[in-house]
Amino acid sequence: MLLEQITTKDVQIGLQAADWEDAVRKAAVPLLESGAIQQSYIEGMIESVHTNGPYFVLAKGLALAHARPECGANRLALNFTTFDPPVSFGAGSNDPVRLIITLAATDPNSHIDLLGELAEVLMDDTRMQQLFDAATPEEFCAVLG
Amino acid sequence: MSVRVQIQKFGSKLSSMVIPNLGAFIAWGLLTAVGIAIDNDMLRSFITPMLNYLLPLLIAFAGGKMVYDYRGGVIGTVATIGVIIGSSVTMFIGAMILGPLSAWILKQFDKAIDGKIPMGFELLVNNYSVGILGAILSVIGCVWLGPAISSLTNVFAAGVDVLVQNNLLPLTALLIEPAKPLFLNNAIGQGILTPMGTLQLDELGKSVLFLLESNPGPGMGVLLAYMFFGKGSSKTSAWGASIIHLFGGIHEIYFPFVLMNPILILPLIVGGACGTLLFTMLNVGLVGVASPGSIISIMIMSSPGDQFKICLGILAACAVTFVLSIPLIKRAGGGDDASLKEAAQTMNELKGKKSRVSSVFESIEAFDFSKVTRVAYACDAGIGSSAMGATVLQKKFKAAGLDDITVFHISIENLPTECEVVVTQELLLDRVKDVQKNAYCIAVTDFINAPQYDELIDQIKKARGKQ
Repeated sequence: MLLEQITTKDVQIGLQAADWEDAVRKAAVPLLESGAIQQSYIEGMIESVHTNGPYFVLAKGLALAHARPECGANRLALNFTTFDPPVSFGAGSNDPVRLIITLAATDPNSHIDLLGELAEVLMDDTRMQQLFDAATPEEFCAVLG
Repeated sequence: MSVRVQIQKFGSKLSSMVIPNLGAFIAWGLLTAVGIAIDNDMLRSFITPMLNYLLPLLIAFAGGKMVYDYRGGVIGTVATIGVIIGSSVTMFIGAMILGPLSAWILKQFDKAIDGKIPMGFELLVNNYSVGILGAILSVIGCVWLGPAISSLTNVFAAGVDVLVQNNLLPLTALLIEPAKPLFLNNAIGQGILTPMGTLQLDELGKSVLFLLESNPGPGMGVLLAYMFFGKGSSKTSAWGASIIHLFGGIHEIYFPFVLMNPILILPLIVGGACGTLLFTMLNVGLVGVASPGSIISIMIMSSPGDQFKICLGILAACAVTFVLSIPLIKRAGGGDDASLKEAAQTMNELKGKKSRVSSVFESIEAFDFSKVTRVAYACDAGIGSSAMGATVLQKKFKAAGLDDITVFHISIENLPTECEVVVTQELLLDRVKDVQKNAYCIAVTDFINAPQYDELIDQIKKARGKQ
């Protein structure tokens, strides 16, 4: 299980954000601090929403924030951030977003197994709700894996 | 797998090495024609290097890339330079063999060492595996394959010579005309006639082989017959179809008319044979590939002074087919709407994918879900959203027992790709439709729980159940 490698330090709970840009930035801070991404990767994510619309809002309440590897991803990394109150992305029926998963990937394929495991969790409505509602990083990690 | 599908697959492999490079063939044809016509030394100095090196190497690259991407293209090209150096004939056949073969060898090698390379040495190993294998293969090509393929090429060329000298070329219509409506036209035209014709060009300065498959005459004859003696939609669509056929050079457009009344193959064969007979008697030829087979590209590529005679041959083919088709069309009642629709459907089935011309027969709305084997999930970066969506959809297919369907993720930039269905985010749909015209597009807003996933699975199951 690759998801087991996710630890409490990869999770931020109950953050507040002024708008979606702020939310994307805040969600990406741990990855920036750990050196998984460069500042340019964050700008890349925001830029991509400006050009393409909020297409990385994958499902109701869930965004998988990411940019192209060449925007400045140094290694494969994931971070989970929940927001309270939830943030509007202008994503129609998928709004508002409660959980942003920030993904840094260095090529199109190395993270597929990880996403596969993640999909298991996200396809399960009950577990998804538990992720949204988790009060502490420990609780969050327990649901994941 | 039926023989037709196998031939079609093999043919499409041959032609997919040539088709992407047709522009280079045309450039070479133009330079050669003009260079010889105005007797210009500078232009004439292009002829041999382009023919001996550029064109075979391009084919080798396309062949290698087909098997193993860019790395395959590189090693295919490197290996092919060996057979080029080791022989005195133009190495199209060598390129078509060595290009894909060496790419395949590299692929096996990469598979064998996969996971065994120490971290940080990947680039070194990757570069040197191509370098060393390529060098070895090119030497093998030079010493052994070159001479062997030379003699093979000479046998083919001699065969063509025999056909030409004994005026037997019209007999090729027996093969070419029935093959065309079965979508073997590219296999024959691009896979065989283009390379053989190019060899002749080197010798004679022009080749009649380029005219065999590209001659729009026979198809035009069938369409004309429908224009005057057809009924209902077959009569009305024949008008538009004939323009696309003759000037656009897209011969696929007449195939449904033949498929709904297959006996029309006979007039097509006789017409094609008459055209070719005239071409050989008048000793005409093209100086390069006429692709697509449009009257315009044929005229551009005609050897200087041959234009009129070539038109004569095309006209003869058209007239013969036209006259012979009339009774056959009348006997069949002129073809009604339903049979043309059906034939257009058959055409898509024969081609194994939606033909680019079928939209002309507006009747074809229904997408055939039973044929779905590859689903592309596209997003802007091809990293996150599409990867997640593809994973979810693949799981759903698996759960539904549709194990043979592959779902893969891709960046919109890399479209079009080989697939029957594209799934994408609603906001990106227009961009997908712009580049991937032949696929069925599905737009979703929820990548995880999209109701469209289940609809797609239902449709595929239903379509398969019918068979």
